[in-house]
Amino acid sequence: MRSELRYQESIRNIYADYVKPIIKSSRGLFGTITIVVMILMATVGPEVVPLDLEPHPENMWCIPSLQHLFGCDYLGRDLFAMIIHGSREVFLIPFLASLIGVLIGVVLGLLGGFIGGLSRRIITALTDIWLTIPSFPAIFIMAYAFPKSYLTMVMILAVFSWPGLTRSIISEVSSLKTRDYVEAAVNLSLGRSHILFREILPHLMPYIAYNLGALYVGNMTSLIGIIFLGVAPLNVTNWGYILNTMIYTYRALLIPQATPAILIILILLIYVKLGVVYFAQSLEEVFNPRLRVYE
Amino acid sequence: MSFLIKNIFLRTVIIRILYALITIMISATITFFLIRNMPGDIIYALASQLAEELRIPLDEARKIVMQLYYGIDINKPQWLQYLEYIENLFRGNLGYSTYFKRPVTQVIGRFLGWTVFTLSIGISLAFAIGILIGMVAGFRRGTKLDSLITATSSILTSIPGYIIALLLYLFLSARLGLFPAQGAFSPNVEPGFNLPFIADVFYHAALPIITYVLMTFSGWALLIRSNVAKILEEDFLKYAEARGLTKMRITTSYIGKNSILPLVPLLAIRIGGMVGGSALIESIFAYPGMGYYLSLALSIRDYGLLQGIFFIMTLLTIAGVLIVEIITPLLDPRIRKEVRG
Repeated sequence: MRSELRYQESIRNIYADYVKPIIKSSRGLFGTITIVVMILMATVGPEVVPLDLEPHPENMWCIPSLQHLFGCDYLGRDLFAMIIHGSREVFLIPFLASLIGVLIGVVLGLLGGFIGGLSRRIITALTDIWLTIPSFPAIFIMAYAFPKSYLTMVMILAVFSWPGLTRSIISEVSSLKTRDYVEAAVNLSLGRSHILFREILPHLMPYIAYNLGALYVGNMTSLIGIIFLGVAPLNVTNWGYILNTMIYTYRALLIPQATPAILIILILLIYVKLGVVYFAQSLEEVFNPRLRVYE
Repeated sequence: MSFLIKNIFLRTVIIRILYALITIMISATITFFLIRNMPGDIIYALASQLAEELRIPLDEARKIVMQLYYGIDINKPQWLQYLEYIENLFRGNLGYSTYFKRPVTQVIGRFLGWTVFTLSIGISLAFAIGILIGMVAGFRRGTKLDSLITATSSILTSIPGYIIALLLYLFLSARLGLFPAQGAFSPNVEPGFNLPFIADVFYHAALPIITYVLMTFSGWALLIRSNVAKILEEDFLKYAEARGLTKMRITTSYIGKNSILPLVPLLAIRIGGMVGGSALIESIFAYPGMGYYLSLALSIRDYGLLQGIFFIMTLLTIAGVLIVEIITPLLDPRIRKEVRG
């Protein structure tokens, strides 16, 4: 009986602390719905929606209808099915890359900010230098040069995902270190790991949550961008490749009938990006209650 | 070494230049190893063509190709090759373009100007517009105008640049025909310092510049807005008002300076992203700048050109960052004070 009560209470606490702040703001709700849609698209989507890559000339550039929700492409193939099947690659690779990037960023940021001194100098210099390498062309060239696989794509994107977060964590940790409660913990000799993980890391959660979201959309944009520019994709249903063949091979921008198809892909990209950013912002608010506005 | 120099301003400049050199070395090293990793077809194709023409063995031809196009002598040990390659770079020898059949520096020289032209106008225009709009939103906090500006800005910042470019191209150029579809100027105007040519150049550069502005101004506006909002709470403003300073004076030198200065270092970071991002924007508008040739070089497998463009893009970024880093202390009296002391 008592344990059940406690169980219910903890559920209620989780709802009050994490779920309510997100879905109570319109942005958070929008972001949450987007994330759910994205997960459904990438997981069950390809299993439910059949993919037919055979050309159907009679359906060329067909406009959206019940049969073809998003219309058709230059070969009369169903765009909706292609986009669903492409979503796995487009959603998953940038996500893994951003996770790795955040991990590197947090570790280097904590090292630089907490230990300070020489390690801080070296890590700051490294981030400053890394930030001046034009990342998009570098990703573009590397994606072209290395043998194509999911792993290499993830690693290439991850290599350019850490400096921004490292920088902000270093400066944040340096200022946290001088706060009274951290100094108190030091004086109580609570140990480095306690101070790092119990006192400092919780304060970094808003940055980490927000940066994960920002990196995710950035990496997604880069991945679609390089493939749109001509790097060979892993799958022909990659959104960047669909855009690339539409616009460069079939000159869709000059064909009036193709306008709906192009607009649908562009709006979808904007929707996904906006949804993830809003979700990340509301996560930031969850971890940093001072940012909340609805109360 | 840095602690030997007392003058902080000089020290920053020297450290920045040192960083710049290290960045150049890293980017050069990456490209050196990437070229050796590139799918071998082009070097093989060139070598076999050469071998046939000169009736020499393929191995020999391969050596000549590496030497001629990339300045790499494959007879020497790898570390020596690397050093020679770096030496070549610092002498301004960026290799040879297989497509244009001339040195890469000459090819890049022809289109570097267009990128610098559009990017510099785009970046500064976006900064200025962002400051203006952000100030308005900051002063009118809580009003409808403020929420309108904040909402549109936050949506705009989430839209990738190439989508803005594609939408602009689709509607303004392809459908309505208001703007040219390609090139940096029309073939029928006389290049030179005359009004029709300059007007034509701006007409062709309009869409890329508008894209750069739309991509970035909203980010600046949001930052300025929050800075202004913070400063409006400060006590020194009340003091300034009590001293009877004019509203104009307070707005420009108290609020303006204090809200804009923190953004200048961010400008440095943003420049890097913009230089790299120009690849997509320029190829969408078929605007013959570096970004356009970067994707072209990849599609025609001209690795010499590819490497050269990447190198120059790094240099451009570094130059932009250096300029910002050096002018920041000149703008900010707090840092200037440290310099004197």
